[in-house]
Amino acid sequence: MKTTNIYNGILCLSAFALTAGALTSCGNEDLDNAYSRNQSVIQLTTSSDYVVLDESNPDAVALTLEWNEAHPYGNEYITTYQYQMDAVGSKASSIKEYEDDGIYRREYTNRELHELLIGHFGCLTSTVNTLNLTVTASFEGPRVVIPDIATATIKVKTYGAKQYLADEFSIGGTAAGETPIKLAPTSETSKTYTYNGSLNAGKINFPVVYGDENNCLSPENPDEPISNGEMPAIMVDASEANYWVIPEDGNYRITVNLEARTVKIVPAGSVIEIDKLFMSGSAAGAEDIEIARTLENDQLYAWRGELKAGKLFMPLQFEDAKNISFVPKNKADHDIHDGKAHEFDQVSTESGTGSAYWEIPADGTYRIVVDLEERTVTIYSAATDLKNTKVSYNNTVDKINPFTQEVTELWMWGGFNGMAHDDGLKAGFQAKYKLQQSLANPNVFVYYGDPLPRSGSTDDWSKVTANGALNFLVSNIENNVYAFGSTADAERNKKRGYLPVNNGETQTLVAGQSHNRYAYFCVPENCNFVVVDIEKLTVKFDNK
Amino acid sequence: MLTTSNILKNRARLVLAGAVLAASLTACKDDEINEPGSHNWEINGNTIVNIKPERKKMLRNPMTGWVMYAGIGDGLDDRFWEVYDNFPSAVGNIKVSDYSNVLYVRGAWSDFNPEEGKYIWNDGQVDSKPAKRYKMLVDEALRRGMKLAFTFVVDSQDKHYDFTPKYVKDAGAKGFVTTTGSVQVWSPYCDDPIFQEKYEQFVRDFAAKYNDPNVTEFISGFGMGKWGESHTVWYSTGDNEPREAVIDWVSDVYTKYVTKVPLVINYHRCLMLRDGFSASVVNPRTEPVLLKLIEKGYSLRHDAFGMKTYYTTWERGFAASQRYKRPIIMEGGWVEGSHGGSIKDDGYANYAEVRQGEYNEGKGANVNMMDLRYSKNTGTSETHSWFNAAYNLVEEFIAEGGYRLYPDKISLPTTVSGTGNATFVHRWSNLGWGYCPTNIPQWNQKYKVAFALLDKTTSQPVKIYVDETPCLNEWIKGKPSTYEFTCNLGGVTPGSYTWAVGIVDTTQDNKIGIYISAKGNITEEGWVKLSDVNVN
Repeated sequence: MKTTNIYNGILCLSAFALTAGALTSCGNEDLDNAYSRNQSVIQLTTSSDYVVLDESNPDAVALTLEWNEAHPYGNEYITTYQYQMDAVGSKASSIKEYEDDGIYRREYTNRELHELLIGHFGCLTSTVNTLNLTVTASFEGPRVVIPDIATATIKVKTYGAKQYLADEFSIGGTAAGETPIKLAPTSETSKTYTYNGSLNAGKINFPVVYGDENNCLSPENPDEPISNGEMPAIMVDASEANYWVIPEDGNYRITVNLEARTVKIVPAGSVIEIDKLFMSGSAAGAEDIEIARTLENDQLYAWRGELKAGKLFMPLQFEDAKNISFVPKNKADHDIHDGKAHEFDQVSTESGTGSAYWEIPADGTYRIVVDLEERTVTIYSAATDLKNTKVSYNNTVDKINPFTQEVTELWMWGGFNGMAHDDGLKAGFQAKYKLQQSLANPNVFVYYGDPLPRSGSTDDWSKVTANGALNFLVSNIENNVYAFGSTADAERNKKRGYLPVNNGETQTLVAGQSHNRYAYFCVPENCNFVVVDIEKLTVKFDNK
Repeated sequence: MLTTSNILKNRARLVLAGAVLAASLTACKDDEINEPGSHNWEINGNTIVNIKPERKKMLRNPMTGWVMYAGIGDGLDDRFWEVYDNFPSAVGNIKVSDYSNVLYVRGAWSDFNPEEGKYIWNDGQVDSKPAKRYKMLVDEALRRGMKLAFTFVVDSQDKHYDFTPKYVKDAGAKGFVTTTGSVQVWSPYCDDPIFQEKYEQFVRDFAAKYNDPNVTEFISGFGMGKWGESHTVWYSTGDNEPREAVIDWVSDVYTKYVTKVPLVINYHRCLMLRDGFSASVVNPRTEPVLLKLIEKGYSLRHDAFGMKTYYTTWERGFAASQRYKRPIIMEGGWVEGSHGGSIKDDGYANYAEVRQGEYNEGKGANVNMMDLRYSKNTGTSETHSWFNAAYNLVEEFIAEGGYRLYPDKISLPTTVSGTGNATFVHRWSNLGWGYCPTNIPQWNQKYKVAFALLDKTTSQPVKIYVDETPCLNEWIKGKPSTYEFTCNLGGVTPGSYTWAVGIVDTTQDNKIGIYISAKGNITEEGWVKLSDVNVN
């Protein structure tokens, strides 16, 4: 009796076969019990549990792992080994290999393991990664046998370019004082760090701890002076770090963006960094209240609603954090200066708003307007609040003459939309083409959305055609309604007037209930932004 | 616990079965599966050969692996092979046909058979663009060793021209008109007698050429209803009353003429119903009808794998009930080029996730075959996303999907009399999650394990001994099957030979029918060499 293995590369299971044969010759009785069918004997060992891959020695063996043979269940069972490698956090598929050649060992050079981690698992360079290694021996035979599974977990550090990542981040150098100032990211997921506070004249950079590395975010060249803009930064080993130079003692605002690889260091108050603006303090209540950016002006924020008597300040949200707040420039002055614009200043929300704030005098309705360009805040109480414009005309629909109406809505109407209309509205009226009244100024109405359609119209009388014709009506009933038309020559029952306009141009409005109702603007292509000021009687069509 | 008497009884039964070469097919019953216990591997004068599995190679075996799709309408690129032979993938440009055994041609009946009695597969009968495309596709596929699969779509719903030939309508078949975009198209009522007469004539003539397992892998579906998927089927009555009669008729037609090639039907819940899919309602007659078709010999397919609305609990349950009874062919439901972002409704973020979802569902159904669907816009085709966003799954299915058969251990004689008996013990495993469907009536257990004495010089079989006992459809992943087989050599000239094992097609003079997934010394024909033997 002899056994032949027709394997390529004769690393055969001869020992296994012999053992199996011996077991078989003893009979199968000892296999037929729960204990024997749950043998867990595989041990998976690795040459190290922490491997730092060496870029300078690519062909040297970096990791070896070995396992021993599984329990021999005898001739009636087929034992199959599967080796598997997974990188924790990677979405890439597992590396799976059947081991049919009886080689219970794997070996990786520095380059092989690095390329596997970077190329297959998508791991980062110069980063510590966790690898899970598994060997599973499955047994197929007449009875069910539970697989024998052995695992090992190791950490492997890749080489290559440093990551712009930080486990710990701080401000270092003589500008920070004797000890580095530790900073936290603006949120758990953010790679941005901010600081508002004093710095000494001197040198500054940003020490970083990442994994087992002591790095530093620094300028490329030694002793670079700071500028007002975002300065490029590089991540280097701490021993190779350069510095920026802070020219004089003072309060500074620092913004570090690791994703963009930039550092910004500017004197506090010289810039406004804002994603959103809020009201906070006892006047606002338990939750911060957002002051929305106006549609008509990116530098203008406005809100109108109920406030309580009490303290008010305005946190700026930037990069998911509210570290900075607007407070009165004169920090000892808490008066709202009802209805009058006055300057604000920026302070640390945490430390600066205890003493600097506005005092809302009484519960009530207030309008808040913040102008970033002018750096002013205007707080209107009900007594000083801005008023809607009133127009008066002969309302022939409701048969009221004179009919007085506060203008709180303004509709674009004409042939521009092919006279399409919403359900329940008259021809040509669509809610999406109603302009929004500005909270900063009730005389201003804004459309900002999809490009306006430019359907064609034909004048019933003159037979002139025009594309994109519209004017502005104070109601969605066009009959005899008060309108803001163009300066085009028009006359009721004789001819309509069409005034072509270009994006970016400001045009004059003609208000009233007369021939102006037949005078239209012809909107340009790609016009998606319209600002109407019914006080100044201007309209601007634009593409934004 | 296995007793000695059990072992003897079991062995005796297998030996007996092995000795009778023309054993009845009824030998492959469930009660024949080996009882737990040992086999006598240590036969005096025998040697044991251990064989290692080959786990990765694409083997051109029937009814397993990836199916390459094509059509013959204007949607097909005339440079089909050129494009598919230089197809971008995650591992560089590849030849798609290196990954696939089958070219599946799904097209309009009217393109295959534009005039009565004239067919595009017959040289010189049809001079049309579809005929030229068909020839271009088929000639090259066969040259590459691929087989063909077909669906003939009858219904014109959602199509831009009539999918049923004009001569059917001209002969007086009744039907209905639907509008696709600005085009009105006509389809026959499936219960119309004139339509049925013409359709049977078509199937008969098709089968005359293609009822050939050397050429054709499978025939898929009836081609009726929307997209030929056997749903949204119109009947002359306006309701479902003719449904079962039509199913009986069309399945009788196919099983009458297509006897050697697997037939496949969709196992969705709205099979041949007037209505489309209902997520909440399963027609109570669907399952009995499907079971009847399966009994007639139909295998199964579903065309919405990975679509969580269309492939759901009922479909999973039905697939599970037919596991290893009939092979299942998978086609994914989502189409990158036309469905776009709708996949988000199913919780997929991208088409890599769609492919993974289809794959998981297919694995759950133990499918034998998966789809490489075609689009002229290669970059957004399903084939493209498989090969680029899910290349690992393409390889994994080849390695682990369908079936992959190999013997890990064989005991066989080293010396034997030319007129004496040889006894073999052989154990087989299936590395794939699918199964080798030798139990379908079109195959009728035609594939069998055989041992051959090879001429040592030519490696050609001198004598082949077929073990009729093993039924390959019983080889399921994780459950090796062991057999003892004794045969009389029947008078072999004394000399030195090589034993080899193979899986032969007993209907084709015992030529190799299925390639074994083994490493080692394998002849060009597919015999796995085992050991030398002296015949005296």
